[in-house]
Amino acid sequence: MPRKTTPKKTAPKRRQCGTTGAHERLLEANPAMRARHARLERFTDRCIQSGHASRLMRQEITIPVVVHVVFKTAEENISAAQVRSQITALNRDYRAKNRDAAGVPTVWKGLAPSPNVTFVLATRDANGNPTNGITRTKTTRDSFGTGDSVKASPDGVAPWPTKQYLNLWVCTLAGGLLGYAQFPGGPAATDGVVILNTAFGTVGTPAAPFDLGRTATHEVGHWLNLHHIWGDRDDCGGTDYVSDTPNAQHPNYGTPTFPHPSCHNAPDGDMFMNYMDYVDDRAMVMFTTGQAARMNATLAGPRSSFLAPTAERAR
Amino acid sequence: MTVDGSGLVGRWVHSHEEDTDAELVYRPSTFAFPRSRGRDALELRADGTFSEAAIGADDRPTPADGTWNLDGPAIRLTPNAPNASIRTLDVLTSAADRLTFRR
Ligand SMILES: [Zn+2]
Repeated sequence: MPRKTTPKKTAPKRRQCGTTGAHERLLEANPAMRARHARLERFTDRCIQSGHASRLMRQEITIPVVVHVVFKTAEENISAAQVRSQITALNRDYRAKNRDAAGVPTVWKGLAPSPNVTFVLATRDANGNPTNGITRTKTTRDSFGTGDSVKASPDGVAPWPTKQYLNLWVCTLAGGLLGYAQFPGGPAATDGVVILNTAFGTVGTPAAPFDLGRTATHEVGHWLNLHHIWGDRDDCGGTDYVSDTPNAQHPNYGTPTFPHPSCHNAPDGDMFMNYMDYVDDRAMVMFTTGQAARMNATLAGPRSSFLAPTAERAR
Repeated sequence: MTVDGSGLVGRWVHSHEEDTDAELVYRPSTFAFPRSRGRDALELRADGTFSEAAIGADDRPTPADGTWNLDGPAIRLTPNAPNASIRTLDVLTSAADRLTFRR
């Protein structure tokens, strides 16, 4: 929403310059969550400052993935080839092998490293039995909302152990929403990301302009604790906790033309070609050094189970 | 322009594909919206209350409630949350199927 703000008389000073972002509202409503969030930010800072995050970035980290296909119609029951095309797309982006990175504006060219994270479909389930890393669940629902019912029976399916697997649910989401995620530190029962079947993978049912697998790239970014580059506020007062992404005011949509200035970030403007903006798949092509470090700090901290030998077993 | 408050009542969803540099475009929730990474929405009720759904940090809509009134050609939103600021939306055009605000 556009907002011109008139502070309430009772509003504390720090709120006077704008409205509270959704994430901040959540944190304010829940002191335990706020404390956890502050602890995690302190850890992330230390991990990046000490150089531990960048050491980790030089290391190959492999994340076992299980894809839960939840379907009512035959078309929603997407093929294994479509699932595999999504894993390929994730590896393309998380290893900075995407050829469209050539479109990164010159000013930011040196800023697009490989986060060096590899994704593989699980080959062993939690009991050690062979698997192709894909589960299929028939549902009676036409579509799912964002209340996580896709992540439990009777309508959906429960995650595999979330310390060992990245759980990816693929279904029809109501209202045309492309996907949603859960940040580190949330409940295990719902940990993972949910993606609309017509925005999943690069072959089969995905449709332009969301047919390059970038919705998963974006959502997994949240799962690794990345925030939107506009900082989830529309008054330039937000932050994505990363210093090398220029402060932006709003999400960008479609395929913007460089430069698109906001929040006194001229002449270069918004880094709308970042995976953590809201542009079309073909318009998002990069993570920054700061984002890559932050994701690796997450893998050193709240998601460190993926560095442990238990993760090996699932590959 | 003069704004008719009763014409504003309803659930309005951001049709961001139609935005321009000058205006933000909202459509009734029955509009055939294309797929999107996220849309904010505003429901204005006849009893003077509103609900909104902001784009959440995890892409889920995040709800908030409050009360609204007309202040000339602007909608004034007073959220119920104790720390949230009052906001005004300058209405540029108002029709049954399209509502626009100054960006
Ligand atoms: Zn997002």
